[in-house]
Amino acid sequence: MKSKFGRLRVMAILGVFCLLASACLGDDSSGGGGAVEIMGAFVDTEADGFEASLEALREEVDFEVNYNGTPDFNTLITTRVEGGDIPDIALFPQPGLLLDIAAQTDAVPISEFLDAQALEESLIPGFLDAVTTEGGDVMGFPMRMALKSALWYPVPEFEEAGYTLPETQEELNALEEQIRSDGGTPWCLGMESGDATGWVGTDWIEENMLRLHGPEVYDQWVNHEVLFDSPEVRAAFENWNQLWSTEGNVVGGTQGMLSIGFGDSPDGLFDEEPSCWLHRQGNFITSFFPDDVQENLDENVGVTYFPPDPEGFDGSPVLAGGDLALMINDTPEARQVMEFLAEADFGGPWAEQGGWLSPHTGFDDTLYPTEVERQLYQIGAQADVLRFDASDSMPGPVGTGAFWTGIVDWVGGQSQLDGVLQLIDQAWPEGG
Amino acid sequence: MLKVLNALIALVAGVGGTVVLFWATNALVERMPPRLSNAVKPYVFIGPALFVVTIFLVYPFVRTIFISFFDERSENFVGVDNYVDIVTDPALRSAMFNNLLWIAFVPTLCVAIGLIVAVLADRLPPRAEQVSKSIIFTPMAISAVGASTIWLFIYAWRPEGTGQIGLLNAIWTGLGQDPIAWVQVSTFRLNTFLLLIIMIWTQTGFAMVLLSSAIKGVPTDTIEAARIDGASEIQIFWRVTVPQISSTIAVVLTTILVAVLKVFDIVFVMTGGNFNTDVIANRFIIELFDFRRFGRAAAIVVALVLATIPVMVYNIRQFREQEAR
Repeated sequence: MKSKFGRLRVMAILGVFCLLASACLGDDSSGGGGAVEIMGAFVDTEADGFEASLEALREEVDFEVNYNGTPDFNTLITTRVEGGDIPDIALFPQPGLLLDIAAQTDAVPISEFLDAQALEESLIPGFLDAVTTEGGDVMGFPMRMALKSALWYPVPEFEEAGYTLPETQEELNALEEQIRSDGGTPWCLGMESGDATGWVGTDWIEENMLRLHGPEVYDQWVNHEVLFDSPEVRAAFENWNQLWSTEGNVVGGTQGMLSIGFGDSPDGLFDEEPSCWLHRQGNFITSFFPDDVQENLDENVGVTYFPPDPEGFDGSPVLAGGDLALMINDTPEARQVMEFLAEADFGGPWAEQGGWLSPHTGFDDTLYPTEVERQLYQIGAQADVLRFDASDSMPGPVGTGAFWTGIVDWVGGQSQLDGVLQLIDQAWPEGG
Repeated sequence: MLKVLNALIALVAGVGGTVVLFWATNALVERMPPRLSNAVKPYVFIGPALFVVTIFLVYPFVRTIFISFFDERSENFVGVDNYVDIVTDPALRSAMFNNLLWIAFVPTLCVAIGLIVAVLADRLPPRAEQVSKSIIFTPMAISAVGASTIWLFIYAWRPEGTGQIGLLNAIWTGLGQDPIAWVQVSTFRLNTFLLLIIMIWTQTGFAMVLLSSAIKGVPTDTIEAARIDGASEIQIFWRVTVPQISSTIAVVLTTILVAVLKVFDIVFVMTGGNFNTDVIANRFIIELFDFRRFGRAAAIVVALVLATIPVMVYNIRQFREQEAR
């Protein structure tokens, strides 16, 4: 009898231990009182760069600042907000979701704790428009720029072939023709991106909208005041269509566009004899370049401003994106972190590590380790108007839905342009 | 490393904890007076399971039904609007059609192929039977995502003139044709069929194992009797073997059918639902996480569950019948 009781007690203790052990498991992030949790979409080396930039802050403050990166940010932030397990600060790769979550969590506008005016003047003009509510409250700010209006070309082959960098749409068309007549294929244009296939195409349409019609029409388009089924948007689609429907202009034709991963696509630039000569993609694409290219970026690849169309909008617009900070839990500590992230010289260590561009105009560009990055930063800093990725700002059912699938169906030949434009308009939620 | 350790602790603590819990409560109950002990014991064992099922299955399901009658953010009651929306949404309609194709072909082909293999393997020497069945069963052990990745390489496309790394295109170009991006070919929904082959590949082993054991359970005297009466092998198969294993066939069919209704991972990995290959479960993911329309997402799930229920009921009935024999 006694031994039986003893065994019972051992088991009870074991049970308690097991419960404790499993309770401790999930608990590696939240930290103690006053700690600030930042959640973001970048991981690995990018997260290292961010961590390095946070060091300056950590030395100053007496609370913990923890960064949690997840490639599955959009899903996870949604689930965590639903579940009430909310990070103090979240860094959104897209403004639409930021505004959604800000409304859902009653987050405070940045003017409550920052000099919003000064921030606006320091940033490349146009950045804050994307995170402004209909009521005029600015809910967040960029802490990183993703520049999209970039044209990549192989170095030194480009020059050796006698090509010159185009500065207008017309010169670009002439260059394409020259490359084709030399027996080359002008464009590396792979769009495949798993369930997100389509975004490469929407970026192209956005680029064309901005260059053809300028920021005002662009904004109206984002707000659905200009329909997809309108002469303006149709012109942007057709402009792009000309690029890939021209025989021999794109590697692999339309099958290639939809099969080749967006990250593998620029590899053609670096073939012994470039299998394609031009690539339009955001600055992030360098991380997808082959390792030996990345090691010697400046000797392998050049980048220039994607040429504007003087017959369209008169000016030099750029298309950009960025990671946008939102403070969800309003605490004194979180405010301190937000102030730090908003500083014009934030990100020095990250810039030195590479792969990061400042959204501020006055950033010290000598910190960038490569000429390519300096060039990219300057394209952004010198633009006279910057616009955010339109599809990011459109409602989800359009921006990550019908717009993507419409482009894929159109390029793949499953649908005609008319039907695609009408379907996208129909997908717009009521009241839009 | 820390993650591995964490997983290990979780595994040991989780499994160990459950064992200890049952052990301890059982020991407690056994200390009660015998009559009370016997009355309480079943509930001690079924109680935790019931509790967990209620918390993690019944409650969320009831809540999901509730949400499906509310708007995107679950704030305002909208009646059956979400259900009207999902049946009129062209994207979802196309997905439903694809699901019908999956339902029509995957379970039947799995059973048909599984049955053929089971019957043929039954006639092999024991060693060869074991080996051949093991090989066919192997894909069952691969996760759907893993299997899809394998097939991604089989269907892979490379530009004309470069080396084809995809098996199918290697054969195709070997025959002198231009490479084709197979998963993009939606003519006659060819690509959907290419995707459902993957599921057939993974599920046939499951069908084969169950059917094989059922065939071995068919009394030999019935077969011998048929043979003496002069029945051909094909007649024996259709008139003697199949009727006696029909309930197993039904169970296998319905089990695979339920898996097919939920199919998501294969489509997600292979095409992301593009090129007219979308399925209902993927529409749900898109509505919930990309579009954030909770009401619609919930309505899709409820519709999917409603479609599953008759199959489940039939499945359980068949299973009971089989058990009763």
